[in-house]
Amino acid sequence: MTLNIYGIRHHGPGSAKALLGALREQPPDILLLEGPGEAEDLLPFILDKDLQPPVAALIYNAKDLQEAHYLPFASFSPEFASIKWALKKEIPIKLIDLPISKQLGLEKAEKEKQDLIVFGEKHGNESDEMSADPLGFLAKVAGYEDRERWWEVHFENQDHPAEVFDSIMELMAHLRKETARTETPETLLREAHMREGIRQAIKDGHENIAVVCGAWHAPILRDTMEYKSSHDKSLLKGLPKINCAATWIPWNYEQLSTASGYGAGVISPEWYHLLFNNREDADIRWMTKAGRLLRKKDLSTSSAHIIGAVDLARSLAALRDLPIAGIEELEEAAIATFCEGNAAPLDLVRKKLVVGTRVGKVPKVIPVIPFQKDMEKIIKATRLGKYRDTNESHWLKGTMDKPKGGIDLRETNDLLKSQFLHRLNLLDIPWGAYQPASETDLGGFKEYWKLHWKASFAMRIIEAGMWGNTVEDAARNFILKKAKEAKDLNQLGTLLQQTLLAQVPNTISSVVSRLKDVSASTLNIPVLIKSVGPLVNSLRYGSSRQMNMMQLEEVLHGIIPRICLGIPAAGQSLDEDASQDFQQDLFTFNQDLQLLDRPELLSLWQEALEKLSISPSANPLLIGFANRMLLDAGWKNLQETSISLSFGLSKAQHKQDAALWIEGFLFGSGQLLIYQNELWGLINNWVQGLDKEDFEGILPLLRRGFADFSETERERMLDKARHPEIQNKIEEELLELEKSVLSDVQDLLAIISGSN
Amino acid sequence: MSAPKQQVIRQLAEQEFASELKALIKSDKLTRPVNWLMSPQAVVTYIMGGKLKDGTVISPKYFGNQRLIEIAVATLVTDRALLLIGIPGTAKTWVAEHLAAAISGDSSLLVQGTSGMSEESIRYGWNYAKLLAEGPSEGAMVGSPLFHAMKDGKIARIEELTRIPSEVQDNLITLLSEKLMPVAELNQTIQAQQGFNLIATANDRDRGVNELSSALRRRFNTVVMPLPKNLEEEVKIVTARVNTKIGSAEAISSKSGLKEIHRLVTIFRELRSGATEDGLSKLNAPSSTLSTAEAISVVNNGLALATHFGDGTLKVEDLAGGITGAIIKDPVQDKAIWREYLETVVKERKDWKDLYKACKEVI
Repeated sequence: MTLNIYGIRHHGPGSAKALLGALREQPPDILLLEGPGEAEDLLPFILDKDLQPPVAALIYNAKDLQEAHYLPFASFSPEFASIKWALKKEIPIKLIDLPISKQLGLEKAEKEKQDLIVFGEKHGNESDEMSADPLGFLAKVAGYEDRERWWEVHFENQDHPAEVFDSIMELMAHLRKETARTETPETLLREAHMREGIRQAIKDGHENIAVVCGAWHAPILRDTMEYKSSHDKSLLKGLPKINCAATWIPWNYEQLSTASGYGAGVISPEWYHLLFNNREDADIRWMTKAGRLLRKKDLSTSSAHIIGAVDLARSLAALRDLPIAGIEELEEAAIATFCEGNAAPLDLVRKKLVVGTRVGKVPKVIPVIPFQKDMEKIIKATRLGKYRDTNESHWLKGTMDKPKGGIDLRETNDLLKSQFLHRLNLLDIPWGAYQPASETDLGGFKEYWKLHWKASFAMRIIEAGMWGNTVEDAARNFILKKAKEAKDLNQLGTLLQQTLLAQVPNTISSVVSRLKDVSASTLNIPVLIKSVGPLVNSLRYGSSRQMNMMQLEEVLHGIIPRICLGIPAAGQSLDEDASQDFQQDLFTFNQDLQLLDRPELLSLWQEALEKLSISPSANPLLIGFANRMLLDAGWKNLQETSISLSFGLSKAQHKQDAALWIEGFLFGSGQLLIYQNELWGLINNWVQGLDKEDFEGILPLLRRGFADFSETERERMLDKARHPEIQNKIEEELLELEKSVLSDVQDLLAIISGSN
Repeated sequence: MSAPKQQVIRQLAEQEFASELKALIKSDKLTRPVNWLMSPQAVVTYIMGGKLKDGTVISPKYFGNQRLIEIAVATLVTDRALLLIGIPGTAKTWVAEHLAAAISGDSSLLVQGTSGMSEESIRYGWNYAKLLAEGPSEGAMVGSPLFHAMKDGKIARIEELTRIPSEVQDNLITLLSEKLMPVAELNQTIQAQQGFNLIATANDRDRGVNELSSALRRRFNTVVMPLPKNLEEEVKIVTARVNTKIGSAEAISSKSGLKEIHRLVTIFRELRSGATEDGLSKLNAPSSTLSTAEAISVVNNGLALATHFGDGTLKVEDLAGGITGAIIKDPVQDKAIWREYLETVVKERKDWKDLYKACKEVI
């Protein structure tokens, strides 16, 4: 019996190539790999022509999807390459690592013990950098950024691929002995499990066994016979276990390159891809691609440049005593030749050039959950497939002329798209970023969507599937549950908006009735005010789509009077900061009410403002502001306002208060002062009447009041203060303006009637 | 002090470091490109410094990123020319000279780019007496440094490439791409020998003067020479360069001398980057370049003062004048900036009181 242990570097193209060479030289009758048993059923799909790496095996707890492991594979991953080879040769394959069901069981037990969250660890859960990628670690210690290059330098030049693995084995055996590090209990368990796997293969009568594992484990597995089987068995006995399901999901190079979360920390997947598939001329292909990409960024990179750059990269490699140019030589050469020594242009294309945008594909025959099937059906029906099969973000229906595209909800298929994307957003699958035609125009029929599919959605899809078997069902159940759990008006307001957009039948009434309950028990006026905005938007949106919004109307008719009644009291005894917040609330509340335009509610609002405007103990900021809104709405005329202003600025008033009054009154715009001479005169006289000390005292407040005005507004005011005679001019200007507008309108009318 | 061996003010690199070059050539077992004195690897060692197997210590000529030097040397192996770009005083010329010395053993094939240059300086001129006597002949030709570099397969250098008028620059295109120089008068063509290449330097700040045409650009690989990465590195450079220039290490090996250099470099770095080294406050930057080379010349100037008018050790008074002169290039703006720096930064540093006083006196 021969036992060959091949210690590899996960995702190393050099490793993959050497491994294939070694396997061809000495074909085994069984291939054992470091990988969890649950993935075994997935392996045959690798030969399916519709499976295109990068892909990941997702192994998850069917009951709690927070517990899951990803095993990403690229075409250049040694495991993937060797499995593919063995499948073609019909050599049996076994995955002998500790099953995920047990790893999850352990994690859970550990979590319960320490009350620590260990979710989100890297696949394989290696405990530190050295055991996660020992060869990579060594490369880094030796000063190589690009680990592949270190591999090339040290192992690639051997004549027989198998010998490479001998040297790795020696190196690792030495390292494990020298460092004498205590392995984590988990690593020990995994190694015990792998040894058991090897023993089983021997027991089954295999004569020529090949084991592919991370280099760190290689010496331990080689010495399998030196460990007692009973020892390993007792270690593995009685481990907690969680039932797991497994499936293939598409992956992409970008995810492969991120070191955190589920990424594999491969710095340059696209370069590895080239190295694995086109090793002989990888540098030429890379440089040509770099030249072409830079050309698109308006750099003049001719073929002659590319030749020069390859030439430089190769002589750099020779100078550094490397068999082939690595990513560093290539980048340095590209910078010197294409970019005039400046690294910035290369940064623009580095993502495409080094990380790559390749997205994997998974065959349709792979068992999927019903929710996903429903999703596929909708994607097909709405023709959204092409937006999913790309790694970049695109505007839905974007064209050259209309880059942002846009869909029209009056068209059935577009409406379906909109509903679908909104429902996915609800279910936390944020495929599309929604943009209404304009912020306030919720009633419009246009929607803009920016779609960006991410491989990580695979997990979210399975999670969403727990809510229901179709997208609609899942969305409904999700909404009902959220509505039931929601405790504050804000959440419910947002949920209602989402629900309306997603148009899930039989949900709105539940959300609204919950809203009614919660609002009844909410006493805080600012909180109530804040909830009005989303509700008004929802009402307008629903009404414009002929939905029955009676119930929501009722809710608003319940909330708004309560707010109006509460405002005068709520405005009492607030300090300055609180007053400013409250002022902002009132401002938006006013806008909402004007939009809603219900006379009976508006008159309540008027009453509230009137009360606030004469309330003696309210902050002067709010009094000034109430006066302003009364004036704007036409509920108070100029004369009445002048009286209030004069009162607010009277000599007996504290100067600070007077300044706050002005600030509140001028909130938003200074136009009023420029064109209303009476008000201007009042404020002007008041300022002029201040003595120096008072003036200095309130200057900061006044400045704040005027700070929001536009530059031109302030300039005109200054002019006005300096040259009172200009006042007349402004009035004349106004008259002129009126006249010119009038004549424009007349012209227009003439044109219209003339064209008729 | 022993009498200097040579009477020249400044020796060529290949003369000054002749023994290092010799040792490198002797121990170099790697392949050499045709007409190169040593292998590319050995050239890198010559520039970056190191210790040879026979024990010879090679002094570092360039303090900084070895990768840059590797790119430069690798470029010279290919058939593209090398363009070193950087602000004044980033050791462009220095590196170019040493590269030429190590590769061809001859750093004298130099053309200084000026705005009034004619194409004879790049191609060839004539000895008119001979031309009249003999008519056009090889003997009557006066070749440019480039002409000789091509004939002998050596490295030629052009300083300040962007100062050369565009129409004269264009002469370089055929020379670099076809590697030949036609001599129409003799109906001949000079073909470059293996080993010929060109190192050009250009100034970042001059970019607009006579920018290279894209046709010429294409013949060059560009390496940008950066400013020293951090304070310590820059102090090291200044100290090393001053030492080689003076020829004796005594002057600044003293503790006080080193301290002065440290402070000087700090001031230059801070004003250059517009922020204090600790990153706590923002500063106004003067119009002057304040390169490392500038710092070196300030120290040299100070040393001269110390040697001839002081007790031989570098003191803060010897530097104050030089610093002020280096920083104030614009009499109004720079002066205000320098004053502000003195008052807000120098004055606040406890052990910089003497420097503050000395600088205040000369401003």
